[in-house]
Amino acid sequence: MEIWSLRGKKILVVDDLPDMRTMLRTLLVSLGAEDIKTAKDGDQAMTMMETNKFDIVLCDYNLGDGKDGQQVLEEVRHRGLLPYAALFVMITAETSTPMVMGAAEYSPDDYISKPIPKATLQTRLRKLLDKKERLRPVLHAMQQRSYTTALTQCDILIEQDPSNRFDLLRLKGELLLTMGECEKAKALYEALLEVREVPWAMLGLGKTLYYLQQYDIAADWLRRLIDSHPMVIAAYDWLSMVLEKQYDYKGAQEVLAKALERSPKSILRQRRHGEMAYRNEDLNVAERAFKLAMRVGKGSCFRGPAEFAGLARTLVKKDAAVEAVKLVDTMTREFRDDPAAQLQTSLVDSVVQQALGNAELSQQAAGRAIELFQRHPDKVGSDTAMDLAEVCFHQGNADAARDLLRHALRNQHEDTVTQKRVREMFNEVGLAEEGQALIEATAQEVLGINNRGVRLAQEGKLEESIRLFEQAATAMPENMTINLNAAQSLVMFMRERGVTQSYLNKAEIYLNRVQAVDVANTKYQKLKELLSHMVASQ
Amino acid sequence: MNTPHSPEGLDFSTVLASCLHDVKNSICIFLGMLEDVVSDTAADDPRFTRLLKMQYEGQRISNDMTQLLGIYRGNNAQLSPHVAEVDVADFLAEQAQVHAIMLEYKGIHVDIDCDRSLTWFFDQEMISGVMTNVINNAYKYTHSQLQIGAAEQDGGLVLSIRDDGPGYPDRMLTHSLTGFSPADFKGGSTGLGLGFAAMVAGLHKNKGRSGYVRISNEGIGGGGCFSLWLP
Repeated sequence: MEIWSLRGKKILVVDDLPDMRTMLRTLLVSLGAEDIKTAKDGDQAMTMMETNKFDIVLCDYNLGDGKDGQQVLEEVRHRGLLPYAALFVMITAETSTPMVMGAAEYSPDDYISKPIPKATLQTRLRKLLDKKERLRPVLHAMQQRSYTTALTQCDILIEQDPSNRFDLLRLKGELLLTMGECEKAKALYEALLEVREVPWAMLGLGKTLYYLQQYDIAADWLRRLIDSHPMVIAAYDWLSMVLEKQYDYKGAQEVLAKALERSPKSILRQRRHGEMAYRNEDLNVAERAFKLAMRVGKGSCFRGPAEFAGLARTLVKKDAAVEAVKLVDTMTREFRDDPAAQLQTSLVDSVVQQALGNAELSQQAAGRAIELFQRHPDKVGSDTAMDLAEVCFHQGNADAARDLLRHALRNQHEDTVTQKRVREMFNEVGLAEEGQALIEATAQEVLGINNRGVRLAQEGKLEESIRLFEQAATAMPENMTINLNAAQSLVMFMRERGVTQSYLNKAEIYLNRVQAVDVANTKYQKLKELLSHMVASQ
Repeated sequence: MNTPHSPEGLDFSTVLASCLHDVKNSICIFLGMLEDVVSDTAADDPRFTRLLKMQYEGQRISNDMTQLLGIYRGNNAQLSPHVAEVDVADFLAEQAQVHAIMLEYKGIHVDIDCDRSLTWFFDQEMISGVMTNVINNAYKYTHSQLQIGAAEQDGGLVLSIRDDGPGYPDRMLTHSLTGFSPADFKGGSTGLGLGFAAMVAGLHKNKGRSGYVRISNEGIGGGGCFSLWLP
């Protein structure tokens, strides 16, 4: 037992109590550790992780008033500060901590509860380091984003060393989902669940079924998971997304409320709860949720203008626009350097001033928003564009509204919900025919660009094809067809003329946009696989 | 931890849980430092016995608090096990290791009987809490021998701890199937340990089956035997 030691490992201890840090340090030193750093809260921990590469992070779940351990983990994973090969161990005050289980990619490697006997820490760390070492080929490939290699390595290791098969299957399931191989992921999770109902497999299956748009069965599995493991918070989040797809907004709001009872500190969840309540016209709930989102979001990398905008709109609906004025000031100050957020701010400002009866101020604000849109169309989503167009129509600025709606339609040229909303807006101002014409013309325009780009590629004019699609993808960042074709032309170019880092990065950006919306898309799967091979060959 | 701020809203169990949670940090530091001191003290040092006694009592305090909090969380549906695949032999070795110095000092010999390749799914921390409590109890009653074992049985995993002490009193055995035994402060037992163990076992579910605990006097020479079945 004594031969094993922590010598040579870089370790970070995160705990808000100085005595606890001392105690843990002594404990680690007694296990041979020499390189130990300590942090007293989440922010300090993150600063240290920016400049140091740690092998082991021991983080207390309760860190006083600031971020809790789970939030620290989510942020460092999100910001890429924690490599897959590093250990993150959550230390909890109770055997039975009322602690949330986040999404699979945001789970710690292990939980250890206080008090921590030396023997426990030693056995656990040794086992965990040993496991990481055995999984190294897979984790290394994942770190390189070479997902096909990672998948192959998973299969090899499962064959070689079945004792790790559950860890490997868990990784494999996530890899399959990243690659868009939903049917295979589904089969994997179903086979596993035949043997044992492990929570991560139930969650994995629920997610997979969501991507496959099998919403009824997805909801069943997620509900079962919540019943048997009420602290798996990610299950509530996915269930609310499933219910939203089934147009059950009331249900989605309820599920989010239940998740928040157990885990109130997530800004994204608070924000979504607010948005769902706003949609259900449950304005008091929406107001409270947006306020909470603002409070828990302080200092978080997930903080955005959405919760401010949501609150301002809620206040306007509650006839409390006066209160919203201060909020707009805060937004202006907080998001000075982000044009997309500035546009949101000006848009909300315009709505608020309109509610207060200040027509001129409202028009000025809308003018600023339009100007930002003209300068940064690539940063404006279709929903924002339609919201702004609504304001423009109201102010009699049909020209600006038309531009904005064309932008929305370009981004969503096949989406019936977008088309419906555009049609209604034109109808309202008595321009039904023009609206219909715009919808059809824009769909034709996108189709034309696509055809031209594909033809160029077929003719071997790959550089021209790339230029065309990249331009289009900047103008319509939400358009899945355009993003897929942009990635495809880059991949085709690299197959013919060799792989370059800058083209790899670009292609990944376009594919990531698709992944976020439609991971089960077959064209996405094909391109992701080709790209993954190219990354591996690098 | 949040406690209600208005005095009339103060709920005793919430306050108690919050308080225990806080004290837990102190006891953690206390036990951590004490463990360090014990390992630095020679066994022939005149203070060694007293240090061990302190460690033993400290662990008892910690166990009771863990169980109280666990039951509080359980009653508030805030408990769900972090089920992971566990190497059972390693897990049992870890349990014995944690108590090694004390058991050795009392001359109690520990045997572990478990197939090396056995793995099972459970929440290590929760089950470890149960095991610690049982071993701590056994420490009080056992003469010289403790057998810790694990095996597959009836499609589940059975963890068992046998001692060669006088065995459980009849009144505990009669209540063993229902989990909680009634509080008996005189005997120094509150039934908390068994209640907690039964709750933790029950939280482990798979394919419609739940875990359970059993106690009997089928230990060594009629000594106590505690067993935990996990699906």
